[in-house]
Amino acid sequence: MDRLRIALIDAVSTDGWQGPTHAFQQAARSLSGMGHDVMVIDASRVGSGALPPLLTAQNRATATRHMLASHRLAMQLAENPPDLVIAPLRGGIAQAPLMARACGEAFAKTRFALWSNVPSRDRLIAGDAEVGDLSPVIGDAMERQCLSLADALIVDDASGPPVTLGESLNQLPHVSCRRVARPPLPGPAADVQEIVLVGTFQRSSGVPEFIEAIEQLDRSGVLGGRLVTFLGPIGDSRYGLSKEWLGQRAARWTFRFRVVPESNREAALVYAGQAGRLAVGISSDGDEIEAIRARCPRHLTHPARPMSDGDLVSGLAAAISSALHDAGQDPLPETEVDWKDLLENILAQPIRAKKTTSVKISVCVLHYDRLPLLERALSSIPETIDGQDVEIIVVDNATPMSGMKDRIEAVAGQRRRLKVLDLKERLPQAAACNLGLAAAEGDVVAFLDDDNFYVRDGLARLAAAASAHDVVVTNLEIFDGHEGAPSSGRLIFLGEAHSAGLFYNFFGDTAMAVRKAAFAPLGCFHEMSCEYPCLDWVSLAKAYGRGLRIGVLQWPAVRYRRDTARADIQAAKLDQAGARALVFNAYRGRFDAEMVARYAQNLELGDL
Amino acid sequence: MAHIGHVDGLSRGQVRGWAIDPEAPGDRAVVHFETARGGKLRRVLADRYRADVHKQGIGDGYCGFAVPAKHFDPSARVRFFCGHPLRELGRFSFRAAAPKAATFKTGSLVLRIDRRPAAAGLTGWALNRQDLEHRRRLLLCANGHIVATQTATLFREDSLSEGGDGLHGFSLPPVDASSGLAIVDASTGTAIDLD
Repeated sequence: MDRLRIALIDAVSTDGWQGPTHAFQQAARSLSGMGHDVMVIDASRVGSGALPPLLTAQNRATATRHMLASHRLAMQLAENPPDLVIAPLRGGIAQAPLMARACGEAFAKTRFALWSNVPSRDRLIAGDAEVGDLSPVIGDAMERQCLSLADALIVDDASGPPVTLGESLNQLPHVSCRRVARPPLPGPAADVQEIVLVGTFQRSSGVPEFIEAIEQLDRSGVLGGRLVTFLGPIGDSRYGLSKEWLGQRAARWTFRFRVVPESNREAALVYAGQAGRLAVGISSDGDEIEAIRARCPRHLTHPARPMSDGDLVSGLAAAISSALHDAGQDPLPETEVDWKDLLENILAQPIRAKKTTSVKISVCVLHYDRLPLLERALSSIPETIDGQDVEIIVVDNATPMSGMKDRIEAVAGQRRRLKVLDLKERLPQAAACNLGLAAAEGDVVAFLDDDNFYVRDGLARLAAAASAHDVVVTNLEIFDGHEGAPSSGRLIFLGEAHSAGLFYNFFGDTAMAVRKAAFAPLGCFHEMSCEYPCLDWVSLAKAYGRGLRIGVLQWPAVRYRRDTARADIQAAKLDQAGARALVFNAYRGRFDAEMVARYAQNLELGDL
Repeated sequence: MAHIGHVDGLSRGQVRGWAIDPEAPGDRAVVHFETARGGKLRRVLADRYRADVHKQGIGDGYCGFAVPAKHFDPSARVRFFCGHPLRELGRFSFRAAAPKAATFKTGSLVLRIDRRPAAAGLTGWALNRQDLEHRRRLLLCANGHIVATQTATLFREDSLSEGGDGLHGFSLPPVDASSGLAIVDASTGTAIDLD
């Protein structure tokens, strides 16, 4: 086997934990030992480098952290693309690099494998974390995209339940892990003086079951004088398990206990791994369990699903008792993944990215009374792409000035294929765009506002990506004022936003390209008999609701002029309630109702 | 070093501000606030993007916070805190005095201009007391040239004191000129010199 460049991506932390998960520590050791060039990248620490500020439709760093981290990761990996990327499914950190590959922008020769762990959706639905932000819903959208774009899903039967997420899961090749025996970790055979529950202080970490088991052991005299420690992220006060709750629960305890509110995972594992401590982990998440097993010589792990109906308590009490008396090891066999075998299986899977092809393209520019800006916009459109003429259609939306057709032809210069639709009455934006679409002869039609313009090769990249999608949007390079102004930020989108798109426009902007044959039958841009807010959001939600494939260029194809002077007096921007109502209807129910309901439940906690 | 930040005030039903720890600008500050004077503290995460703060070179800009006004006792003057130990970040009162402004009256025309740098844009409200439904078309002139126009129809609660429905506000764009500024009521030709 040739020497490969392999990137192992450590996920962005969730559930209050900080720092790397070290989920791929063993993989890094094994793959390096096989002679490969291995990079372990902590996705939460990838810097922005020379990137402008990254902006999203929601503009909240915490809720959108998966999006921001994924985009930064794509930019970093593209500088020197690896042969293979292995990334966790949860959080969808591989979404931006995978989307760049799907749009033909980068990573053409890079294979992507997803490490199967519990998806954000399942954690949100089954867990009790008081998540008041959109991060699990955004994470879910990214995970679904990853599943539809990656090359393989790595399934470890020993570390968790199977993934049951998304319509595209069945098309994604599954690669199973083979496990081999490993020697137990060396550790001093000191008696256990302290029992440490490692995990976020939540029901989903088995806290109530652990407490019940400890109380049983205390009543039966097994606990002795041992200290009981709760180690991990914990809230002071919340409508769930917290220090306040624990204080009340512990009112009648006679055994010694303490809380170590450690949110740094690495520090927590070091603490729990010290001599005289028995680390206990209860979780359905294989990564959590594996970290404890790999780092703490005295451990007891239960790969169970807390909050389920099963009797976890008696088994847990018996296992702790056994571990205390026998100074024995975890009853589960000590094994590790056979990465040599796994790597061969991953490499046997084909790269699934569709090839982009040359297409006949038209560009529709909607104009109203901004000739100098229109001139700049038109000058950014190349005459030809891949040897094919680019058609330009300028829809003048009834500029109150005579001779507009001649004026527009004059600013357009010598163009082989130029049409000017000189409207005599002003139309709503959607209707004007649809007129342009109807007049276009290209297979792919791109839309551009008259105050924006394409960056060099921007239109060519849009055209290429549109050959592999039904609709392609682009991340936008924002600037304020004159065209030479430095970038004020990069607005990034998700394309197929899944359930997250119900709440904010994570889909994209009207600076998009559509395959006419796919977009026209669904009625093009959503038209109403009056103006309505967020044409882009509503129309893209409609495309999504009807199952169209939406791609996103990761490198901006368009420089987008932000009109800060007008921003405060645009009625449509204020009507966010109306936009959401229209978007909801456009979805036609294509969202995850269980997850959205669970998210809403959590939101209501803030009003208690 | 203590956190830095500001409690900006009420905007679209939310009390807004920003906070950041200059020594850990990548961390998101937790802002604690009273909902009633001396009441139990609640918390909000300061992680909203604030372009204005970012442009000042402070952190990555993701340091804004917003708390729905419905959470507050409207009669209270509440405090916001940040840091370890908690230090006061700022105060907010729903009964705050109207923003400092200059009022010009010419006949029945009333023009109120908020005091803020012209480079940040001109805001205020304008109305004709004898014809409240006829919204004023305003021309912003700099050194004799019209640089912006707008009809004063934005909602300004403080204009209710003059009667009418409050829809008399305007928000004109920033201009470079530091002198020679005037606002002209296009219907009557009445000019008000802003220098």
